[in-house]
Amino acid sequence: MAVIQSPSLQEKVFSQPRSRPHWRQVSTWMLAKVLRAVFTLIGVAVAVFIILRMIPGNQITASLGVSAGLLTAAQVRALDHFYGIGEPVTLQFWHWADGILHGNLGLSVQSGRTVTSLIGAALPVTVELAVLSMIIGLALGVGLGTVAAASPGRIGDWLGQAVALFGLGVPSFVIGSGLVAVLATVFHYFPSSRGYAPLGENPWLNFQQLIFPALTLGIGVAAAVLRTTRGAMLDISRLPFVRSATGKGLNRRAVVIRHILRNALVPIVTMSGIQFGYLLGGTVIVEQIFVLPGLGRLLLTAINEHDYAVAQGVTLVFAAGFVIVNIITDALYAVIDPRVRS
Amino acid sequence: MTTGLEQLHPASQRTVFSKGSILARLWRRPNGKAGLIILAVFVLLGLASLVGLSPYAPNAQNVFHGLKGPSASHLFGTDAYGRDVLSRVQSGIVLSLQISVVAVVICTALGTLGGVVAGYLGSWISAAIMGVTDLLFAIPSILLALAIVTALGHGWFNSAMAVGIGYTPIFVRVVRGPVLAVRQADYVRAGYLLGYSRTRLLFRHVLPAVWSVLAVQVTLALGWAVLTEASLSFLGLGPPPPAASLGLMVSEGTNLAGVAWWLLVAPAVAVVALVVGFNLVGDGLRDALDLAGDRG
Amino acid sequence: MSGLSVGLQRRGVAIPLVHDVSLDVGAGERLGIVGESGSGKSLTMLAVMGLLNPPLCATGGSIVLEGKELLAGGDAALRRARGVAMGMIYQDPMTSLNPMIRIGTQVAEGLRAHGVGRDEARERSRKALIEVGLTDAHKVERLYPHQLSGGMRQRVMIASALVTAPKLLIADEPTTALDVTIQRQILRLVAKLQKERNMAVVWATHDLGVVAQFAHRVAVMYAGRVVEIAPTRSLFRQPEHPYSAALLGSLPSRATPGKARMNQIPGIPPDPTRLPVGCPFHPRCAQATQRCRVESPALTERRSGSMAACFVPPENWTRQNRP
Repeated sequence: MAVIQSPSLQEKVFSQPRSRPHWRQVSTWMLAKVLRAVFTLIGVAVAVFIILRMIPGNQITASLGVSAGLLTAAQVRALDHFYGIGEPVTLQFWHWADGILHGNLGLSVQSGRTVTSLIGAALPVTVELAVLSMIIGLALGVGLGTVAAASPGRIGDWLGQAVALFGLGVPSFVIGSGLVAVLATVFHYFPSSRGYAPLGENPWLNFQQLIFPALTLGIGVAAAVLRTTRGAMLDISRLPFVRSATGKGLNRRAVVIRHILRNALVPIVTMSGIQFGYLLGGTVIVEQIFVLPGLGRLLLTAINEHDYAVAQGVTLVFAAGFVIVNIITDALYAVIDPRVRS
Repeated sequence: MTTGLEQLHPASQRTVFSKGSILARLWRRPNGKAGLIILAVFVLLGLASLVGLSPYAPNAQNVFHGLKGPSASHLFGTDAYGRDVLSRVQSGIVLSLQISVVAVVICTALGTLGGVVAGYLGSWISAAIMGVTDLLFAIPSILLALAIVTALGHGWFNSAMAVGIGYTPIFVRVVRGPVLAVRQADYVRAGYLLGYSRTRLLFRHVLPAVWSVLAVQVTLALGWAVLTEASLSFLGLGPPPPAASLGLMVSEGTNLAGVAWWLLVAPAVAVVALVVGFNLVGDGLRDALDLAGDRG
Repeated sequence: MSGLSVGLQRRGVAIPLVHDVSLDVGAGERLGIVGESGSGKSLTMLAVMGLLNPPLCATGGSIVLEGKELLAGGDAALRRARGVAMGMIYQDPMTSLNPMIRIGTQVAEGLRAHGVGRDEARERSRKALIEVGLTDAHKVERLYPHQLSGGMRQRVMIASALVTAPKLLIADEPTTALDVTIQRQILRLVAKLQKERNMAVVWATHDLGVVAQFAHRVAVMYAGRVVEIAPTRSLFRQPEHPYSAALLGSLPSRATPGKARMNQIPGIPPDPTRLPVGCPFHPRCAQATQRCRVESPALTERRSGSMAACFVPPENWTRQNRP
């Protein structure tokens, strides 16, 4: 087939695929993100250290309770030395930071166990809870948000708006308390009464124990994601390419999912990243309500018992989790949006 | 002196924030109207207790009337110590609002200052502020509040500090965005060319543009503050008992929900109403002021 | 298409934007639609495709394509007709392609929607890309829209409209966003493809030059109405409506370069919500009579074979508006 007029030089230049350099750019971009994340974590470590040093009261005497009064001065000094308490603050921080780099977060004053082992035991619970909550939140949020955006002003929309209002307005401790109360009094069901069942040992009981806390946290995520999904999809549905897709004879479903939702993914991912932060904070409350031995509960116990090393360690792990999710979010942008890659 | 430039300014029409007009616009929105009604009911309910319009003193115990269900003498029943739940919820609302308002004053002041400085001055100060903000963002805000309240000790003002500082990073970001945008807008550049001082530009051009964003954010922050304060006291980190704190009441109510559901429901409804109310008004404001952003 | 009206539905009240527009186009014919921005060209085109977004909607009339009524047929009928029976090229090639999806997929999409298998769809979309002058189709189809220039994107748009071999191609100012040399390429490309496939093409534009080169017949639109339909040649030789004449008069004259000043049409197009009584053009018309201020003229047959909506025949015009 003869071509009447060949494309201009400029068009030819543009038509060269440049996929390899793109990916190289992406990797330097990601490296910058990771470096930034590391700096953030160092900052968080310093901040946490400072805040927790402001807490009044000696942690050793706190841990020993009444018996602290019986200690001789020499004994106190020996204990202080063992836990590294008598040192100047800067030296304490240095030891702590040095320990972190060697995977040593210090010792729990209360239990005598290493902070690393305590966190190691609690981390899987919280990770599982967070992942399950995120799945529930995203499924509900994106699903209902899509329905709401596809039929603005109809029943689906009103339902979605109601869920959003509920999820944003009802604090997780109210949802959690309500769930516990209803389960216990109406169904005489206490999923946590037999003690925590790890995923590896009793998956079914583990699921029963985690589904309600995950639901509690997930609804909050769902509400925010729903609103973002709906808003972004409504904005995008007014863009010209949606019209041109419809003009090709695509059915409504294909237009909504392939064209509108696809383009709404970037704000949805952003919102999900933000929500993950709230979700991490929420685990403290929800693990407390549902008696789950996760990081949140560990942190709260540590705070109540003035167990600095544990509280520091857990907060650092939370911050690391948030930072990692931020990096994943940034990486997802590159996967979703071809424009980010160039 | 007033020049043509001032009239060109898009926000200058709005600088006169005559209370009537903004309230009227809010009232025309269904979400704003619903939010205002809910808030009015519950805020008035709380404030009524301050002028003695509550059935009992919040901490008056009556052990013989413990765990009584709703009745004519105790509309929302009594708790395990025989204290009137309605009266306690009323004073809980007051406490919650007191903490939230102080917290929002703190975060608005700190956040606006930080945001304006970071957006307007640029340079290394901006970098430092944004660095600290990023850092605080990496700690979930409730954890930050938790850590701060632990460090400062329990008490209503410390709760307010913790909640306020926890929300400050959000204010910094929210304020910095429009400040940056306005600073680079043509009418502000024109102001530089006309030789206006930085202070004049800041107060006459930059701040008015931030004003509407700030109004929305303050309302949403109030909702968040109520929620966070209640969460903290739910975890036992709020004002210590016997202060009537809504979060603590929910926490106590959960354990007794089997025998006395009203202990859980009454404070929970109050918290939810306040949070939903502030959120609805915030959304309504955003619509009424026609701000870009996610409109749910 | 006959008696089509488009309105803006707001709080139950319809604000009419396009009034009773009747156009017809036969196979192998190229119809041009000219008018200023806001004259209702785009709305008419979109209404034919059934692509008006709420609150806009077609409020009356009928659209008949190959004997089938589309307006009454509901969404499913429209959807089947889109692509197969009619295709459209849009105003802005920069935003009319989905930025997230590869070119090849976007071109093939129309075929897939009408039940063509994956491999065949890919084969045919590659052919279509080559046909519109993107000869390295196997490379282009793997790119994303942001990696293409404006001209290439418009070629892609044309490919994705033509890949399903529609009988009617609607082009809504497809060249306005492009620079002049590319405009010419696109215009020639569509003309060539139109001839090869014996398609009907409707080309909306505000550019009379484009119409002169391209169209067999021209419809002139003003304030949501067709004020004149004429074979291109007779329109340029003897416009029957003062507005057409004024449009032609505003073209830079080739005969007297630099000497004659370009004629402007005085005034501005009316606000569609506050159309004047009578002929909508009368406030700007040099020929307006008392009757024009009261009564709205209908399209009537003229000697030249044109149809025009004007009470004053050109013989009686004052000099001012003569081309």
